[in-house]
Amino acid sequence: MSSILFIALPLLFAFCVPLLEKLGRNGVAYASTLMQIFLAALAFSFFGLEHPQLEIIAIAPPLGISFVLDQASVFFVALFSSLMTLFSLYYLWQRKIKSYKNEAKFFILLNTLLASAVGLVLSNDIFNIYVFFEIAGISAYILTAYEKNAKALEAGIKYLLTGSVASIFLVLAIMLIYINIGSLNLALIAQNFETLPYNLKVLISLLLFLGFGFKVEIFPLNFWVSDVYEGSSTLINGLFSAIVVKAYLFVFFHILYLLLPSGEFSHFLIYLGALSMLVSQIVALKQTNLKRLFAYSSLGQVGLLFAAFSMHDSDAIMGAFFIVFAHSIAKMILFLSLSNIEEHYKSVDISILQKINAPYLGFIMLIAMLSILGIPLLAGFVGKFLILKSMALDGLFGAMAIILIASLLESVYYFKLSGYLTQKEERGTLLSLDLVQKILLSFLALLLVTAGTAPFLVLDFAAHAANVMLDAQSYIALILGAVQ
Amino acid sequence: MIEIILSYLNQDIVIQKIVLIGSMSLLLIGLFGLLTQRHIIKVFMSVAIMESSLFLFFIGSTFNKNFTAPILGDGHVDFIHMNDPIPHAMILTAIVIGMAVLALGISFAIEYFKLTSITDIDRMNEMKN
Amino acid sequence: MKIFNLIFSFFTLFIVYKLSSISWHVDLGVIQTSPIMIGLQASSLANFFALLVSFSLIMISFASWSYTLSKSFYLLLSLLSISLFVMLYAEDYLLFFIGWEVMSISTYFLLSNNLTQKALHKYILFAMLSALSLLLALMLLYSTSNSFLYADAHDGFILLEQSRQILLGALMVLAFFIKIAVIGTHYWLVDAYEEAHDIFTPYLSAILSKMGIYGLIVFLVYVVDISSLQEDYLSYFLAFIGVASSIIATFKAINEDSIKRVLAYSSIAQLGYIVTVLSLADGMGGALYHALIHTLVKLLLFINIAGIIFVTGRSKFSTLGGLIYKMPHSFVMLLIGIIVLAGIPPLGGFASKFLIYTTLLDAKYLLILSAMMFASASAFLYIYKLIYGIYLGHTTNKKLESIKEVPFSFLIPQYILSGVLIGISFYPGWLIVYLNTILSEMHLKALSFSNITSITTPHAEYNGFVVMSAFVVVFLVVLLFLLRLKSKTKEAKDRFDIAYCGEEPNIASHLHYGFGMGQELQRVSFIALILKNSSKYFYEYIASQTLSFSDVLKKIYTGKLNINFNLSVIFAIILLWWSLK
Repeated sequence: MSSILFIALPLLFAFCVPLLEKLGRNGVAYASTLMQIFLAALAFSFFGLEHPQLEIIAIAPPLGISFVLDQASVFFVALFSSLMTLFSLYYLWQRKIKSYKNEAKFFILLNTLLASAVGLVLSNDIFNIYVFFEIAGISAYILTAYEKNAKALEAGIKYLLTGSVASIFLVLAIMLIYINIGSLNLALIAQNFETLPYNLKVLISLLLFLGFGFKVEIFPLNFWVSDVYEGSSTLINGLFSAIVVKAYLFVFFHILYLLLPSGEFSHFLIYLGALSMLVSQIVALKQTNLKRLFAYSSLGQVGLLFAAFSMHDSDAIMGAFFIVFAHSIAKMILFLSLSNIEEHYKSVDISILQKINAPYLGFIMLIAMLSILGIPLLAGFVGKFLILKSMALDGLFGAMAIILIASLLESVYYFKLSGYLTQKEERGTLLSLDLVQKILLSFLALLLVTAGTAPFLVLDFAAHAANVMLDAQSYIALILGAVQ
Repeated sequence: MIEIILSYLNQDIVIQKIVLIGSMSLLLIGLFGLLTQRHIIKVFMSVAIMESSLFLFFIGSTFNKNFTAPILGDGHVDFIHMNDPIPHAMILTAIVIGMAVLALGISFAIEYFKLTSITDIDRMNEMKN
Repeated sequence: MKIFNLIFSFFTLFIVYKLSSISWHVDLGVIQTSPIMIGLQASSLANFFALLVSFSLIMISFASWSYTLSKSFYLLLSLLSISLFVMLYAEDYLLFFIGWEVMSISTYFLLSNNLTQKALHKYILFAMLSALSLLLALMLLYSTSNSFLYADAHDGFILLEQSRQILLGALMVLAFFIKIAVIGTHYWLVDAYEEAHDIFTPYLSAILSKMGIYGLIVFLVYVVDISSLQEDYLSYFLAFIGVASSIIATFKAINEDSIKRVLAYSSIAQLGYIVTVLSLADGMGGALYHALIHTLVKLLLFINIAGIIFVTGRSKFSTLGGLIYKMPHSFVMLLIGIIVLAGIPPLGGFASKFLIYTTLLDAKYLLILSAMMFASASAFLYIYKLIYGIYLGHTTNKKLESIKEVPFSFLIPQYILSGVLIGISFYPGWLIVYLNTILSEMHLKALSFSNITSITTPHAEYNGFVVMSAFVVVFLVVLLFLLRLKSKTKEAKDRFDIAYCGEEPNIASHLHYGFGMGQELQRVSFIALILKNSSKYFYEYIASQTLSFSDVLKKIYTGKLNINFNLSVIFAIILLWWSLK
C-alpha cells in the first residue's frame, strides 16, 4: 500500500461526489465515512514501519514530486485520518438532529481538507506544500462560511484575507528560494541553504515565518482566529483546532529543521511561543462566549507547541507530540460536545454550562479540560512535563516561568467552567446523547486517560518519531539517495 | 536618441533592475492599499495587485531574453538556450489559485453585502466579544 | 458503598501497617532516551504519615455512616487517599508531584458539591498555584541534579547558583505554605473549611494540611539538608512566618462566629507552631509529635462539630448553647479535645508543646519563643469559646431544648480518638521511641528518652503518667462533688428565667455569651490592626489588575482586519530591522 492513497483517495472521492449523489441522501455520507475508515486503518498499518518510505510520482526527485512517510509524519497522518473518521462518524449521528445544507458539498470539503492536511505533512516539494497550503486554506474558508449567515460570511472574509496575505509571503519566499537555489525540492534546498548569504537567508526565513505564522496562529499574527472560531459552526471548529493548525505547525517546523538545523533563531521562537501562550490566556480570562474561549485556549496550546518545537531537542519534540495528540483529542471532545449543547440549549454563552443537564457529557468534557490543563494521569501532563524537563536542562527558566504563569491563568477559566459543570444548580431539560456518540466520546476520553496513565506504551515510538523529525541529514540522504 | 535608450534598456542588468524596482513598487502599492483601503473590493484588489507583482517579479528575474521558449521544434532539438519552464508552470498554478481565492472572497463579500449591506471592513463587527 | 468504604479504609490501614514493618522498594518506569528513575519506597517518615492517613480515613468512614453520600464521594475519597499514599511513598519528586496534583484535583471535586462558586474557585486557584510553583521548583532542581530522586536532590541543590537556590527555596516554600495555609496564603482555606461537607472538613484539616508539612520536611531534609544548615535565612524566615501565622490566626479565630471557621483558624495557628519548629534541625521530633497530636485532636473536634451540626442544623455560636445536658457524651469528648488543643498539662498536647518550647529555648530563639507563648495563651480565648458557646450557658433557641445526643456513628470515632489521646497522655515517652526511629533514618539528632511514661529534656522532665493519674483522681473527686451539688441547684423553668440586670429578657435579646464574643478585642489597637487587614485585599487587587489587563488586550483581539494587518506589518518590519545585518 502506498502513501499516495492518503492524498489521492479523498481527492478522487471529491470528484466522484456527483456520481455518488445518485445513490441518495446517505450515499455520499456513508461512502465518505467508509473511505475515511479505510484511510485510518491504512495509516495505522504504517505504524510498524522500520525505515522512512519514499513515494515517487512519475519522475524521481529532485525534479519530480515525491512523498516521504517517516515515523514523524505517520503519526500526524494517523492522527488526522482517524480524527476525521471520528468526526464523520459523529456527524452521521449528529445530522439526525441538524444537518448542513448541501451535504454533498460538505463532504467534498471535509475530504479536500483531509487530503491537503496529509499532503502538507507528506510532501517534500516546497511548491507542492504551497499548493496544499492553499487547498487547505480554501476548504477551510468555505467551511467557515458554510452557514452563509452574516457572522459566518464575515468570519470567512477575514479568514480568506489573512490567508491570502499569508500566501503572498509564502510565494515570495518560495520564489526567492527558487531564484537562488534553483530547486523546489526540500532536500536540495536544505543542502544548499547554508551557502546563501546571511541576509538572504534571514529574509527567506522571515518570509517563511510570516507566511506560516498567520496559519500557525502565533502571537502578533493571530488576531483573526477568535472571529473565525466564533463565526463558523461549532463542529467545524473542532476540525480547525484538531487538524488544520496541527498540519501547518508540522510543516512549518519540518521546513525549519531542514533549513536551519543548528537552531539559529530558536531562542526568539521559544520566547515568542511562550508569549503567545501568555497573551492568549490573558485575553481568554474575560471571555464569555464558549467558542471564542476555546479558540483562545487553542491559541495558548499552539503557543506552547510552538515553543516546544522551537527547542530543537528530541525530548521537547516528544513532549510536543504528546501535546498535539492530547490537545487535538481534547478539543475534538469539547467542540463535539459543545455542538450538541448548542443544538439543544441554543446558546454558547459560558453560563449555559450551569444549566445543562447532561451528566455524562459533562464528565467527558471535564476529562478533556483537565487534560488540556496538564493534570497528571491525563495525556496533557506527559507532554507538558517532557517539554518543561527539556527546557530545564537548557536553562530556559524565563520561558518556563511564562508557560507556568500562562497555565495558571488557563486554570482560572477552565476551573470556572468545571465549577459550572459540577456544582448543584437548577438544571434544564435532559440532553440525551445517541449511543454511538457516547461511545465515540468515551473512546476519545479513554485515549487521553490511557496515554496519561501509561505513557511508557508509546514513549519509545514518540522518541523515535521525534528523532526522525529532527534528523535533517538522513531526510536529505533519503531523498537524494533515491536519485542515484 | 531613442535607439540609445532602447539599447541601454535592452541590457540584461537593466531589465533585471526594472523588473525588481517595478514589481517591488507594485508590491508596496498593494500593501499600501491593503493597509489603508476600507472598501472590501478595494482590499481584494490590493491583494490581487500584490500577487501580480510577485508573479511579474518571478517571471522577470528568471527570464533570459536570449533564450527561447522551452519547446522542441522550429529547429530546436536540444534543451539548450531555452528558458526554465518551472517558473512558468509555478506562476500558472499560482495565478489559478490566486484567482480562485479572489473569486471566492468576492462571492463571500457579495453574499455578506446582500445580508447586511456593509462594504466597509471596519464596520464588519458581527462578533462583538 | 458505606461498607465498602469502611472495608477499604481498614484495608489501607492493614496494608500501611504491613508495608511499614518490612522494607520494600518498587522501581517504576524508565524512559529510554533520557532516563528518569522513579519508584516507591517506604521511609519511616512516609510510614508515619501514611499511618495517620489511613487512621483518619477509618475515623471518617465511621463518622460518615449517618449521612447519605453519593457514590462519587466515596470514589473520590478513595482516589484522594490513594494519591496521598503515592505521594508519601514516592522516592522522587516526580511521583510526589503527581500525587500532589491528583490530591488537589480530587479534593476539588470532593468540595465542588458544597462550596459556593467563589470559594471553590479560590481553593483551586491556590492549589494550582501551589502545584505550578512546585513544578517549577523541581524543574530547577532537575536542571542540575538531572534526576528527580530525593537521593540526588541535595547534590543538585548545592550545584545551583546562589540566586537559583533562593528562588528554588521560595517556590518550594510557597507551594507547601499554600497547602499548610500559613498566614498570607490562607485566603482559600477558611471558606473551604467552612463550606465543605461536615464529614470532609476533618479530613481537610487533619490530613491535607499535614501533607504540606510532609512536603516541607522532605524539602528541608532531602534538598536543603537541614542538619548542615548553619545560621541561615531560611531558618529565620520559617521561624518568623510560623509564629506570625500563629499569632494572627489566633486573633482572627477569636472574632469568628462560625464554629468551623474558628477551628479553621485554629488549624492555621497550630500548623504555625509546626512550621516554626521545623526551622531548627533539632525541632523535627517536636514537629512530628505536634503533627500527630494535631491530627488526632482536629479529627476529634471536627467530628464533634459535625455531630452537632448534624443534630441541630446550626453552625454558629450565636445560635447554639446550653447543650451540655442534652449531649453529655459529646461534651466530654469536646472537653478532652480542647484540653489537648490548648496544650495544658494533663493531656498530650502539653507534651508536644513542651518539646517545641525546649527546642526554641535551646536554639536561643527567645523572641520567637515568647511570641509563641503569647499566641498559645491567647488561644485560650477561642478554645473557651468553643466549649462555652456550644455546650454551656443558655440555649438560644427553643428548638434546641428538644435535642438528643448525636448518633452513635459520630461517637465511636470520638471515643477511639480520645482514648488514643489519653493513652498518649499517660505514656508520652512511647511516642518518643517511635519518633527516634524516624529521626535516626533522617540522620537527625534523636530526642532524649528515659522511660516510657515521661519526656526528658536537658532542662526538665515531664512525667505524663504521674500528672495524668493525679489529674484523673482530682477530676473524679470534683465530678462527684459537682454531681452531688447539682441535685441541690434550682432548675430553671425556661430559658428566660434569669436575672438580667433588672430587665425582662425577651425573644429578641441575646442571652448567650457566645453572641458577639471577641468583639471587645477590637478595641485593642494591635488586635484591631490584625483583624482589619487581610491578604484578601492583596489577592483581589491582583485579580482585578489581571482582569483589566485582559480587557485591554481584548481590544486588540476584536478581529478588526486593519488592526490585524497593521500590527503584522509592524511586526515584520521590526523583525527585518532586528535580524538583517
